[in-house]
Amino acid sequence: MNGFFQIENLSKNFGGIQAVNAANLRMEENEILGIIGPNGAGKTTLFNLICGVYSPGSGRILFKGQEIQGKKPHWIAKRGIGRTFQICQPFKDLTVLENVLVSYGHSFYDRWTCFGRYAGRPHVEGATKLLVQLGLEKYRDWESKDLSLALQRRLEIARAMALNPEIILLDESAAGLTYEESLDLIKLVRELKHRGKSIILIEHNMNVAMEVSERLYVLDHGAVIAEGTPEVIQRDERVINAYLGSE
Amino acid sequence: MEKILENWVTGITLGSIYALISIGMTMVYGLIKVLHVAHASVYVLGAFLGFSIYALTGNIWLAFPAAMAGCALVGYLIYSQIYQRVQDARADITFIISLGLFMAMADAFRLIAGPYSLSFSHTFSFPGYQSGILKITPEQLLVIGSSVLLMGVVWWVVNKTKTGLAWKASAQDREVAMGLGLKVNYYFGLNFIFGSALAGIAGVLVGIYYGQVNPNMGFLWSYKVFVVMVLGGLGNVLGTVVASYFLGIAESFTISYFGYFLPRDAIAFILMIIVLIFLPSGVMGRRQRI
Amino acid sequence: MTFVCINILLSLSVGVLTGYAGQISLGQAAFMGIGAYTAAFVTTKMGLSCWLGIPCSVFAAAIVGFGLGLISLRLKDDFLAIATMGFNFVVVGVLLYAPMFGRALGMGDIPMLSFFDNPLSREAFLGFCVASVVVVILVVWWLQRSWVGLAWRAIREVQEVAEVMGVNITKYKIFAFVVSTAIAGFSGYLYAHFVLFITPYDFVFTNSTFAVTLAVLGGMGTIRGPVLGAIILTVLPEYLRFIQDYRMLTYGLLLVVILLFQPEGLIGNKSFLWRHLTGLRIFRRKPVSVEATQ
Repeated sequence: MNGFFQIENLSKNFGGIQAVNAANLRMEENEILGIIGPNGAGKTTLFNLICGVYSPGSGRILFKGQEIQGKKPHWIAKRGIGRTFQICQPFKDLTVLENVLVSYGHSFYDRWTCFGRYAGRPHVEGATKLLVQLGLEKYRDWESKDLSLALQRRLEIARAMALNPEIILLDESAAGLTYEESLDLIKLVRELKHRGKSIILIEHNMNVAMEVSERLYVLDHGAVIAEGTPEVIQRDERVINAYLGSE
Repeated sequence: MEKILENWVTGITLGSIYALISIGMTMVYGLIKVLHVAHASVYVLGAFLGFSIYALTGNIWLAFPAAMAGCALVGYLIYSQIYQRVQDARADITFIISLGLFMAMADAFRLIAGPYSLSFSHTFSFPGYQSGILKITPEQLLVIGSSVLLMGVVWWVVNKTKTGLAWKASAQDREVAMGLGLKVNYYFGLNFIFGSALAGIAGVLVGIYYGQVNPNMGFLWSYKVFVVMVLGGLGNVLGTVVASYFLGIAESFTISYFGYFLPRDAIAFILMIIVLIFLPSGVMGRRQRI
Repeated sequence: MTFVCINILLSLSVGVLTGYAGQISLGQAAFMGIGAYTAAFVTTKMGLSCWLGIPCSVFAAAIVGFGLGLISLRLKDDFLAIATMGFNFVVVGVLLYAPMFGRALGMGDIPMLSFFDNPLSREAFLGFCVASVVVVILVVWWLQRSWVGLAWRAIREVQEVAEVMGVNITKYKIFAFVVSTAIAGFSGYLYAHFVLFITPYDFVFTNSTFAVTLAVLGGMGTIRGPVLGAIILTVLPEYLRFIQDYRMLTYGLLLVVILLFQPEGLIGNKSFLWRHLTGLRIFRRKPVSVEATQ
């Protein structure tokens, strides 16, 4: 199977709890994929498996034909997969600019170039351009812990973008946002697609998920229980049961 | 044969002492996830308090409650004034704070009581135990007896009282416990008081057993307590007790049969480092959940 | 005065490892010891030039530091702390028991640094020390300006996230240990050629906590912090002689009080003093221009 991005029969077990159960997923280039499911369904674990934080028990993850499961996170990051986190985790003592520079410098860390100045003019300009794209340039020298939640989420996205990734994983980026802020987020996701990125987003906010995803996967208890376009998923009985049943 | 029995007895006595000191520290770790090094200083305090009361009153049995009370108070102060303030700090910073406190207290003891050992001897009115070649001195009897008694108390408190239940709940998940209305800080404080009182008794016992107290007592035992805690599983009271006896007996036999190829503390630490490296990820500190 | 330099180096070694990379080490004194004993060994037992001691001491300390770095990968935070503490005990234990290092009596008759058989005068030696300190400060300054420094700070913040952002945390953690222990080893080299007689007791664990106190007092995470801390704690006991007897008490209390109430140290990046100093007109830098768009 040679496509852009596939997950084949991926499983992950944590001491008896099957967090991810034989999950299968496929994504074409430049798609916007949504992953939804009740709490504890294994969505974030799936992201952690994709970006290398966990090693799967079994199964494969293929990115442009290459197996990436079980590889180290920094290797995967350099291959072109960036992510944000469910609970915002900026580098608190670093400024907004420095936060972005950390991932911006991903290509320098493993060569002799790592001894170069990180605040050099081309780097700062490049990172600032990213901040402008996300509307954060005003806060460039702020300490990241002083940002509001919505801005922190954007910072996380900026950080992921600085990897120049082909795939961006957004983990509940709409959580805690107001209505207007989530509209901004939807606009942003579409903008990312326009720039050629492929996006997978985990969302609990149904409006956002249904509005922006081109296709959806529904997870429950670690397994994929449904897949399809938003219209199809909204009517799918299994999905409705999964959400209601878990209350 | 007699030597073997003697080693067993010594080992069990040693193990009892390790257990009494370690229980307090491992309980604290289980609850607030802090390596409370200063606990060793509390233990030394107990020894000195007991010694002072004995010197003042000549009554050995008064020494114990005095030590318990003093240590409980100091333990509580340490919790409320120090650990409560740094609840969300990184674990290594908290450890360094505890270490600083430990060293400051050790030096304070040296300044107050002088750097030399003070003789703490008392002949007990009850005899030891002798049966054939098995010989247990009255001091050993006291140590082993009190330890068993106290560990029984610990077991009872942890497993049969509301306090023990609160401890177990808070150890599992502090926020959930708080959410359920548990006055977590109150129970943490109780835990410190309880553990510190135990350490105080241990201090008096050690003083009596070795016939002396000196300000450097804490140093000798503190590193061994680390080893015991790591071997027994951090926060695991039963494991710590088992590990204490294991270490006590092992030490007793090795001292008697082999020389040292390295100082005792170095050997203990090598053992501990090896165990730490090969333990499952449960010991790798709190991995950030992302 | 020479001790100030030696202690500055020691303090910087802690600053690099803990202040920047966020890895705790309570064993720096052991590395100073490794450096010192290597220097002594190279000159007394092997009869080589005393200047060869520089690469040898640094290298010896760095190799062992590499090993400690490997160990550190499996441990985090407080467990790393006790492991490094244990490591200090082990090193001291080895030095105490190894016959080739003179056991408890240590090694003596270490020659002074000499230039073609002319021993350096005290002033010259001091000059050499100061020069070394300057060199090390430059190196550390360079590192913290570079991607290495940024990577270290990211690791100190949230290492799992740093890894997902492309930082090879294994490599950088080990590198932090190597740099830090190399500096400590070099400080040992200077120490050996200054006091000319070393024993294992010079490098016990309590000295490691002294090293940490130095860095904490001034403020980790900067260069000025450890330097100031070292200066204060080396010079002050000279002027306040009575403090000598209360050293452990003072250091212990300092650690507790500073970490409780001002963990950034005296002149660390967000400390009370520093913020006020940089608020002053004379210290204010030109504001960075920020586009005020949108």
